[in-house]
Amino acid sequence: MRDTIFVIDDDDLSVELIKLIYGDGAYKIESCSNGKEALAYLTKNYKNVAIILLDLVMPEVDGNVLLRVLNKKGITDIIPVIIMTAENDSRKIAECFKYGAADIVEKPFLPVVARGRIDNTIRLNESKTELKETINKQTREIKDQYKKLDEYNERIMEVLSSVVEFRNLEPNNHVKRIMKMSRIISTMLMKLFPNKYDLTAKKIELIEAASALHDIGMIAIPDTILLKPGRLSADEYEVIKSHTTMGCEVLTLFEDFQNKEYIETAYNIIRHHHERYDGKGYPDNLYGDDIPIEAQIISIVDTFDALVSDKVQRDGYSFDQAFSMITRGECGIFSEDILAAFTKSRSLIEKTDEYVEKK
Amino acid sequence: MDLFDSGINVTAAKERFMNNEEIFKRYLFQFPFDIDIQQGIECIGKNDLEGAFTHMHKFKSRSGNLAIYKVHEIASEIVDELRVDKCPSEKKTSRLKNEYDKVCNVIRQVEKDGEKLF
Repeated sequence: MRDTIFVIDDDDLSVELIKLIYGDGAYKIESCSNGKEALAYLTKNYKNVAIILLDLVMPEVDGNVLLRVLNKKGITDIIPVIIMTAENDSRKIAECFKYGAADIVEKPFLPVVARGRIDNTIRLNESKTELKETINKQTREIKDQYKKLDEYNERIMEVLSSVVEFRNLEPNNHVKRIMKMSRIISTMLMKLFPNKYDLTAKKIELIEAASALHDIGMIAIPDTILLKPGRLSADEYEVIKSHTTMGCEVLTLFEDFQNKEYIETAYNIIRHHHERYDGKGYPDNLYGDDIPIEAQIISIVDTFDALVSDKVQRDGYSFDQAFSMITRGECGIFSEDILAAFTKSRSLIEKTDEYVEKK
Repeated sequence: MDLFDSGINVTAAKERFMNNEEIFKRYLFQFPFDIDIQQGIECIGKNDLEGAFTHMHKFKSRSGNLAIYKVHEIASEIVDELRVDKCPSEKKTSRLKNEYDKVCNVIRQVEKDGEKLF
């Protein structure tokens, strides 16, 4: 509790007058007569000080110099300083306000005037501090609520994707594995090529979250094609390929529930995760690094998961086989950087819970 | 004794000291032993205007707080001159010294008589 008025004045009579003014015990009065002692006292006791009453003309370190030091240390932001002075040089007075003084009281002062201004300044500062704390608290609460909302929204997306995965007869936990692997590869890519792909911790979180939606467009594919056993015709394959563009239409349903960055990342993943680095992918035949990096990442992790997962028509390949097929260009074409991140991440991928059994 | 004519505004002092005559007298009776006026005048004599300003400023503040208004007025004029690096004249410092000596005699008499002031 701030219960102390701290008087910095080399004139003991001035200090005595302040003690008389506060004879009712509303505040304790502490004092010192020079700047060095003042700083030592404040360092130890600043939490108890409600206000500083500072004389200007003092030997050795005068009040102007001390005020600048207090201002530089940020003390004037926490504790108001009233200059109590017989000085009437307007330039020096102006400087006091410039360096954070809250008010000036001219000596010799009338007790009722000094008391009124000191009390008002203390009350004003207390209100300001309280308001600041309330705002900070409310800002934290709002941020927490936004965070929870974001988490709920992400969870909804994951559940929706799991529903789609279930309908597609995808291997168990495919979405979870894609999410985990996309984080692993993105992180490795950021580490290997720090400034090349604008990857940040925040961006990686977005990629991980949005990767859950990569095949959301499958919901628009008719069962007769999606669940057809055996080979698809050329026309049927074109319908399957449309899950990329259809997925972008489905995404528009979520635009109100997610922030702009999430939607953009998800869009890029959904639309472009079947592009190929050599330009022979779909739907837009994007070439090289025209393919957004998030789509390139999902593309390789999706390919890998498809290879190692058991399907109706075949058992899953081993890790060695899957890594070999991808790096030799037998399943999709990827950039050298993506392949480097992928191969360097192998041990991390093998350690993930979802792949431990498979390995 | 009319203290106001002698240069002490007792009414103002009473208000400033919140009716506490004991504390007022404690500082009033120290006034004849003030070292800042002596050192201030010495510094003026040596043309040490910075030193003079510090001492005279303090003396002015004390005389003002004690409502010794005539001395305070002259001390204020001297401080204003020193602030703009002007050396006060000997005439002015003598005026201050004379007024100071006069009021000190009054203060000593008050102390001797044990007069109630508030």
